[in-house]
Parts: sequence; C-alpha cells; structure tokens
Amino acid sequence: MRVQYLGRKGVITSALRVLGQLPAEERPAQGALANQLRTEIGQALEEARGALARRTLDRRLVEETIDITLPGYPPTIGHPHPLIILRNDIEDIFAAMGFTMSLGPEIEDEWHNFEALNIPPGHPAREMQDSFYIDAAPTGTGRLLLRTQMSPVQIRFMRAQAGRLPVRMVAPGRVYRRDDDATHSPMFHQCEGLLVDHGISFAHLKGVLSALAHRLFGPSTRIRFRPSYFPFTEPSVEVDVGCTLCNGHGCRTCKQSGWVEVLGAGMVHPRVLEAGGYDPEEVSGFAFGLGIDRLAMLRYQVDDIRAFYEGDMRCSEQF
Amino acid sequence: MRVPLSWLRTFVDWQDDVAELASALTARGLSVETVDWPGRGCAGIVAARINAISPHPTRSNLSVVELSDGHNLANVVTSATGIAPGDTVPWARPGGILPGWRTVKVRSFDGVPSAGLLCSCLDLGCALEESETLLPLDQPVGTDLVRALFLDDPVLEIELTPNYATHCQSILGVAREVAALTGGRLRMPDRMTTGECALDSFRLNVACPELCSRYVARLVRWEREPAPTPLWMVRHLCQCGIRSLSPIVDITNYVMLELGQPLHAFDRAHLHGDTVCVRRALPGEHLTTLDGREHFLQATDLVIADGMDPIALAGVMGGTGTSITEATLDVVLESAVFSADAVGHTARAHGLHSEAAQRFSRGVDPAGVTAASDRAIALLRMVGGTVYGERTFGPAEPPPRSVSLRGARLRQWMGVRLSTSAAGRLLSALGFEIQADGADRLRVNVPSWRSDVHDEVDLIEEVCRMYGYERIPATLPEGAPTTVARPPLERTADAARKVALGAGFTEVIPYTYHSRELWDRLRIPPEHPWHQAVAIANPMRVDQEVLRTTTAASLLRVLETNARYRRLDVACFEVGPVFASGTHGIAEIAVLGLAGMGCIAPQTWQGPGTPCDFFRLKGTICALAARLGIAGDRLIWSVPAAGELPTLHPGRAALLALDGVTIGWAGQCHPNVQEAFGLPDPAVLAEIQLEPLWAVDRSIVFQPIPRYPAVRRDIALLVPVERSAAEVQSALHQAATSLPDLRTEVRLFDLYQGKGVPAGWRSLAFTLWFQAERTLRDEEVDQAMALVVRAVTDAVGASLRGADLSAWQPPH
Ligand SMILES: [Zn+2]
Repeated sequence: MRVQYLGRKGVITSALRVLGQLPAEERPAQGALANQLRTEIGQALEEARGALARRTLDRRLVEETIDITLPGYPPTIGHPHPLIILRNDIEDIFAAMGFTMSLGPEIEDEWHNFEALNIPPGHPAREMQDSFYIDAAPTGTGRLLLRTQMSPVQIRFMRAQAGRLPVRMVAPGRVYRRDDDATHSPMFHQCEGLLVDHGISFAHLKGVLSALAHRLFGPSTRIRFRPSYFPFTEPSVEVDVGCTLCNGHGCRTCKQSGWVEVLGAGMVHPRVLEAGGYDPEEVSGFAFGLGIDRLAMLRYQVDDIRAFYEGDMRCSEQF
Repeated sequence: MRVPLSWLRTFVDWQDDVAELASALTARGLSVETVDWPGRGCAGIVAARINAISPHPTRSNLSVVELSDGHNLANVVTSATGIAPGDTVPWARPGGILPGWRTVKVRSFDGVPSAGLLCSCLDLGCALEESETLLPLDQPVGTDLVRALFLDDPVLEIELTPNYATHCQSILGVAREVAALTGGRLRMPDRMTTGECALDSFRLNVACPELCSRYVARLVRWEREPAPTPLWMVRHLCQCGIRSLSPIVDITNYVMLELGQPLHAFDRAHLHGDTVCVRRALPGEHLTTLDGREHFLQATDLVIADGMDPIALAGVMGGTGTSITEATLDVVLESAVFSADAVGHTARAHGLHSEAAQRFSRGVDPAGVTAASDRAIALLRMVGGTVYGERTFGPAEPPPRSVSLRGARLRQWMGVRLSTSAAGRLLSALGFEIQADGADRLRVNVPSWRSDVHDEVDLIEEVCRMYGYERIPATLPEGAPTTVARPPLERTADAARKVALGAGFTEVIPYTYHSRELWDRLRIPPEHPWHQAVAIANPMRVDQEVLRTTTAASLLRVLETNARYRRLDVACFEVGPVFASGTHGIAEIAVLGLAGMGCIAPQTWQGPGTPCDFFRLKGTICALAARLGIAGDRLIWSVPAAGELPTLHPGRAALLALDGVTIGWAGQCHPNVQEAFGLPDPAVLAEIQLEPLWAVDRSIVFQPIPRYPAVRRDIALLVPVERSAAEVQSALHQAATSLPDLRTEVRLFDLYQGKGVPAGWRSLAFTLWFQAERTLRDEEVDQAMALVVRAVTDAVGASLRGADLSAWQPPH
C-alpha cells in the first residue's frame, strides 16, 4: 500500500511530479494538498502497521504465558547446623562487647582441665564431670583426657596473655563427658568466657550476662541470678531466664518453675587467677559458661539431644 | 534432699507461704526444685474405734466394719485384714479428701453401702508402698489425723550444690538458713546427756586417729522389746523416702536426717571381745554388708571391727553380723567423724552410696557428734531404752578457726558500697562470730559446721548470698575497647562452612569417636596410618573405643543413618578435628570433611538432578582454595599409590597437595565399603586440612581489566584415553602462553567417548580465549590457533577433530 501510494511510482509521488505542469498560481495550493495527502496516508499507514505489530506482540505474549504456580528452581544451598547457628549468635554478641575468641585442644591434661581450675584430685567435681581418659602415658601435667569443659582454654589464654590486661575472651567448642541420655550427649558444646581486669566486680558480671541474655532471648526477658557452686569461681551464680514457652506460668520444659537455667558464672577464684599467672590481689574477674546444646534445645524445642549428632537429613533440613 | 515443713517448723518459725519460702531459699542458693504437696487440702480423716466386724454377704474378701468416732456410728466395707473389734483405725469420712485430691464418697459394694473407707498406710503417707495391714493408731478416738499426722504437709525438694551439702544436708542445716533469712530464732530439739555412768567392760579403741577425729559410743539397753516407732517419726521418715524398719534403726535414721550426723547401732550381744575398734582393714578380711553383698576389703578401707573381725565399713554401711534385729536388747550407738576422703574412697570402691557415706564424704560437723548422740538417746528413751555406759575418743569441739575479711576487698568484688559492720551483721545471722579487726576489717570466727569456709573469698560469697544477688546492680565494665581477633583457623573454618553450604552441602556434627570394628568396615589394615588411633581408656560403649583418624569414619555413618531411612540423596560436610597418634605424640588436626551420595540437587520438573560425585567434591575444594586466595595451579591432584587410601575405589581416588605437601584426599568409596555401610549407591568422600589453607601466602593480585574484547575459539581434540585431561590442558596452556603479547585462557567444556570416536580415544573440547591490549584480527587468532594445535598434537598425540566446534554437538 505504501508503494502504491507513496512509492517512487506511487499515486501521490506522480501527482507531485505533475505539479510542475500546473499553472504557477495553482501550484502552491495543489502542492500543499498533495503533501498533506501524503502525510495523512503515511500516518494512517504507520498506525495500521503499529496496530498490527501490537496485535502480533499481544498474541506472542499470550502464547508465552507461564504457569507461575510451578515451583521455583531450588538453589543448591546446604543447611547450617543449629548448634553452629547458635554458636555464631553468641560469638557475635561477645565480639560486639570486645571479647576475643580463643580455641584450645580437645585432648587436655589433668592440670589444665582440673588442677588449674581449683579442682584437686579427689574433688567431687571430678566425679560430677566423669571424664573420658586417653590410653596414653601421663605427661608432666597429669593424665590426658578429652576436655570436660571449655575452662582449660581460659587458663591457656591467660597464660598466653602473660599478665597483659584486660583479658576478655570467649571460647566456644566441643567437650566430652561420660553421660548419655535424652538431654546429655557424651560429646556436646559449651561456650565459656572470661573477663579479667582491674576492679572487675560481681556487678559487672551481672551487667555483661544480662546483656547476653537480653540479646539472645529478647529485651523483655526476665533474668534471675541465683547462688550456685563451681570450684573455679566464687561467688558462683546460676542464671535463669523466664520460660518463654509458658511465659513463666510453668510447663514441662521449665519443670513447672517458670524459669529455665541457661548460664553458670562467677567471680574467678583467686587460685585460678594465680594459675593463669595473675595476682588476685591486683586484679579480679568473672567467668561464665553456657551449654550451647541446651540453649539450642530450648530455642528450637528439640527434646532429644541426639538429634544434633546423628546427621539425619530430616532433622538437618529444618534449619 | 527432702525437707518436710512440719519438721522444719520444729526448729524455726517463718511467716511466708510455701511458694515464697521456696523462692527465698532458691535465691539464697538452696535451690528448691519442687514443692511436693500430695496432701494439699486433705480433710475428714479421723481415728475411729471398731465396734463390730461382720463378713460381706457376697464377697468373701471383704468385711463390713461398724465404726465409731465418738459421735457417729458408720458402716464401712473394707478389704483390710488383721483387724479386731476394739482396734483404733483411720477412717476417711464421706465428704473427706484423701491425699492426691481424692474425694471420699459413699460407695456400694454389691448392695452394701460403705460410708467412706479405712485408709491404708500409703493413703496416710506412712508407708512407701501399698500393704494390707492398717496403721496401728495410738491416738484417742475422734483425733483429727490430718493434724496428728500432718497429712497436708508440703515437702521441699532441695537440690544441694556440693558446698552447701556440707552444712545444709539436714533439717537443722536448712533451719539455720531459714533463721538467717527471717531473723527468727533457732530452737534446738530435746536432747539427753548420759550423766554418770557405771564403769563397764566395753572398750573403744581408735587405732587410726588421722581418719577418725572423734568417736562417741553409748551403751543403751532394754528390759523388754522396744516400743514401736512413734507414728509421727514413721511419717517424717516416710516423707523423706525412708522406710520404717525397727525403732532403733528408725531413730538413727531420724537423727541423721534431722541433724546431718550419721549414726550406727551395733547389737552388743554379737560383738566379739566386747570391743569396738576403728582401724584399717587387713589383707584378706571381708564383710557382708546390710544390703546382703559381700565385700573383700583393702588396706585403704576404714572399718569398725570388734575383737576379731570387721563389723562395718566406717561411715558407709554396717555388717550383717552385728545388725539390729527384733531380739536386740543391748546396743552400742556410734556417733563419729570419719575422714571424708576415706569414706568417699570406700563408698566408690565398693559401690555403696549410702546416705551416711554421702554425708561423711562431704564432711560433718565435728562439734555435732555429741549433740546427735544426745538427741538419739532422748528418742531411744521414748521407746524404752536406758543409757548405761559411754566411751569417747577425741575432742568434743574442734579447734576454733578464723578468717579475715577486708572491707575494701569485699566492696571491690561485690561492686556494692557495703560497710564491714553491715557485712558482719549478714554473717552473724549465719552463725559466724564477728570481731572488728582494725578499721575496715573483720575477724570472723567460722562455726564448726561450716567446713566449706576457708578463705576470705568464701566469706565474700556468704555476704553476697545473704545480701541477695538480686540487690547487686548490673553494670557494664568500663575500659578502652579491645581489638577483637578471630583466630585464623576459625576464619578458615568460617570460609569452609560458607563455601560448603553454598555448594549445597549440609553441616553435620557427628561423634569424633568410633569402635575398632569400624576399621574393618573401612578396609583399613592395621599397618595403615589411619589405624594408628588415640584410644579412650574408659569408654562407656564399644563405639567410643578410639578417636577417629579420618572424617570418613564419621561421615560414612551419617550416610548409613540416612540410607537406613531411605534418604538416598545426601550431601553433607563437617568441620572438626581428626586425631593422629604417632612418634611425636598426639596431634589434633582441623579438617573439612565432605561426603555425599545420590544427588546434591534434586531432580525438578525442569530437569534431572545434579549428582554428588567425585568432581562435585573436587570442585568444592578448589572453590574453597580460590576463596582463600590460593591460585589454582598451586593445588595438585594426583593418583594415590596402591593401598594408600584403602577406603576408596582405587580408580576413583585422588590425593591433594598444596605447594607439594599433601593436605587432603577425595574419592568414591570402595564397593566393599559401600556394602559394609549398607549404601545402595556409591558414596563419595573428601577431606582437606584447614590449617595449611591459612598458613600459605595469600596470592590474590588484581589484574587490570582489559579494554578490548576477548576473542573466543573452540577446539575439539581426539586424545588417546591414557592421556589425562590435565596433560592435554597443560599442553594447551603451555602452547597458548608461549604466544607473544597474547593472554589466553583455556577451559575444558566437553568430554565425549562413544559413537563417532574410535575405541581407545576420547574427544576433549576446549574453549580458548585470546586477549591483547589491542583489537585482535581474525587472521592473527587463526595463526595463534594453528600454533597451539600443532604444539598440542605433538605434545600429547592428539589429533584435531574440528577447528571451530562452537556448533558441534556430540552425537547422541
Ligand atoms: Zn515453662
């Protein structure tokens, strides 16, 4: 159509070409007319062509419709372990409070695991933490065993600090005890921490551990500090938080008490400061420890600790 | 420990209700776990006399009893036996409430109505198990038994920490704490001293005073059989979970629970030589204890002996030969202090964790020995006994002890401005005697029952506890910010976790120990390094015999677990230690372990799943190295020597070296291993040490971004199968990099073997990218390609399959 009307041999072009033969006074009017006609036809053609293209596109868009209810392609991403998620949360909270993370060996000697922590041979705490001993000749620092707590890392860290202050460290890791039931695994995870400096008091212990509890369990969490006993701290304290499952009214998880024990802590015993190379007359400090498994069981309402260690994908994939 | 409140109230008064008392004690460190209150709301139980008994008309095991409580008559149907008219029995009236909120009703037994019921001993909380006989009441008819036997008494269940176990493991101990809390006065129970005693032939001989600092032996006799244990005592013992046995034994148990001092009674008639001796056991001696077990004794065991043989394990348990029987009329009552360590050792060695051993092994009050004996004598008199003799050893009171407390030290540790006088008041409420010792300093005399208090810090703890932890403020410590460093190994572990998770592996934390038997399943022969494991000396179970030398041991068990649940698509990893035992001692090596079977990405509606195979593991490990800035050419994968990785398929295993040092391995498990772990599909495993990854030099150096587009050429080569892909790739790379001022990159994009490719050959297709600091002309690139092709055909005996295969598809 474009060629028929507007092409070089088209009607309009021919009409324009014959303009020259017209009388001079008619030429402008006829020329304008022809030009206008050419423009209008051009526009009409453009519109028609646009409409056609739109219709073609519309048809194509309809044809290309997908079923958006089909499932998306799952990216190949693994699932993090619940204990590591919680451990990272705890590490982040302490890093923000200026605590350096420290590691230590899982095979320890009796000196680091017990003696340095004010647990001499025959102390009842050695039985409370029934240990796995290593079948090897004793070293100069006692028999070898799988560490029963993260506290030996405190001793190692203090000795590595060689008297420098402040000591602010947190040590998460795996520990081992001869214990096996729904709430105790022979291998489990603890996180311990230590702060030693001039003038550290029980009030500071309460401050730091309240901050931890509020960050971990929410700012409105109720916290209770209760006297307890650990050989390496004195005074010792157990920290309970209000049970979030029953809002403190009592349920199976909190044994009807409305409180859940989450932390053990205390002022570092002078003998432990000495074992770490610090003068208890000069400095003081507090230490704390928490069971990562226990907290994870509370957080995710897991009732058998073995779920964390079996590697059953039906469990892992929930995290 | 169980504390009946009615018993506690004999020592001290308080105002609070049970819940408040429980939370106040908990806040002071005596953690009240539960309040056991089975008799809450109990009512309507009285002592009634039986007027007449007749058999039930139809049921032979029942009888109908006519009762009188002094005001009313009632007929009650019962199955109780051994009752007679004139007996006083416990009657629960209709409308009454029995322990456990059981409402008493009129019930019909085959047409015979029963107005309530006769209560069993268990109903009345005076027995630990059900029995047919009724409680022999000594109360007058009409007595309200709820009051007389304190049936509605709550019992506090207290969990004692080891330091409180020394002085709080008794009703008296808890009463002291309550008195300190409330400011109430402590009442001590009735006691009797022996007074003058006639001389007697009985002899006491303490042969090892270092293990027995005090011994009081009293001689008590009866003219006739002792009177029965009073019901209130039976009830209190029962509330504490102790069965009533005989009046004499009940009284020793009662005093132990009440005052914390274990007592023991020997039948004097059965003592050889009329002697009690405290000594170490001799070789070859043995003793049968009250629980019927025979023990062979060691010289480390402290025993009580008569003139010939051991008659008791001191502080642990008595022997059968001198035990109290129904015929006993003459008793040696022992109250003593034995060494905590010796008792603890003997209890452990013989597996006898008696109530007495628990108390002695934590330490008893040395000044309480005589008091406990006095208390027992007062009670023994109630059941008809007469004291007629006494022998003692050691001082009645231990030497006084005192500890200093500095005010400044106290305030600094507490973080509270507390004066020494205020601290002194808190301590004296607990029985400490306070003397000022200069300005801002106290001299504190420690009471004999506080063997747990030695140092200033022990006193600080007591002050904090009595002040109340809840009143100490919570403040954040001041001080300059510290630089927080995450250990490099932990940062490497973080990277390993991120890469593995991102690659589709799920984190697991399997146990780090296993049984020796697992080595067979892993095909590890005894001489193999993986067999040189650290052994656990005292495993609880067979699967805790050794610490693993490889994560394969743990991860294969994870796959096994999942296969058992028919979960056959698994890709998992762990970051943890393996343990090596060698000539240099024990080493802990942190590794990343990877394992998988089936698909790592599941089949979806748009395509098949991605298999988790050897190359998935290899790619993930390479990605981790790249992530840590280790250039790919520093990692070398090589074929292991025969027997080097026996757990793996010999044709599908690789060792990984970084800068020439082996740091890991990867491969598919051996078919035997697959079978041994019950895996339907082949599994793949890999392990890489983490420490070498952060210990190496970082080598990321930024390359300027080229300003000109790169030119791509694809090439397919027919290569003899014995030529490895790496050889071909490196030949290509070498040829390409020898070109002047051209940068090239070579990447394998296809591998084909089969139809169209001669046997013994395979087709490898590569993409080459050419890059220069100018616009490359096609002729230039073609020339370069020709050079490369010639070089590679010469080097590896390859032949060109098609110069430009961008449109080439392998035939299907
Ligand atoms: Zn709850």
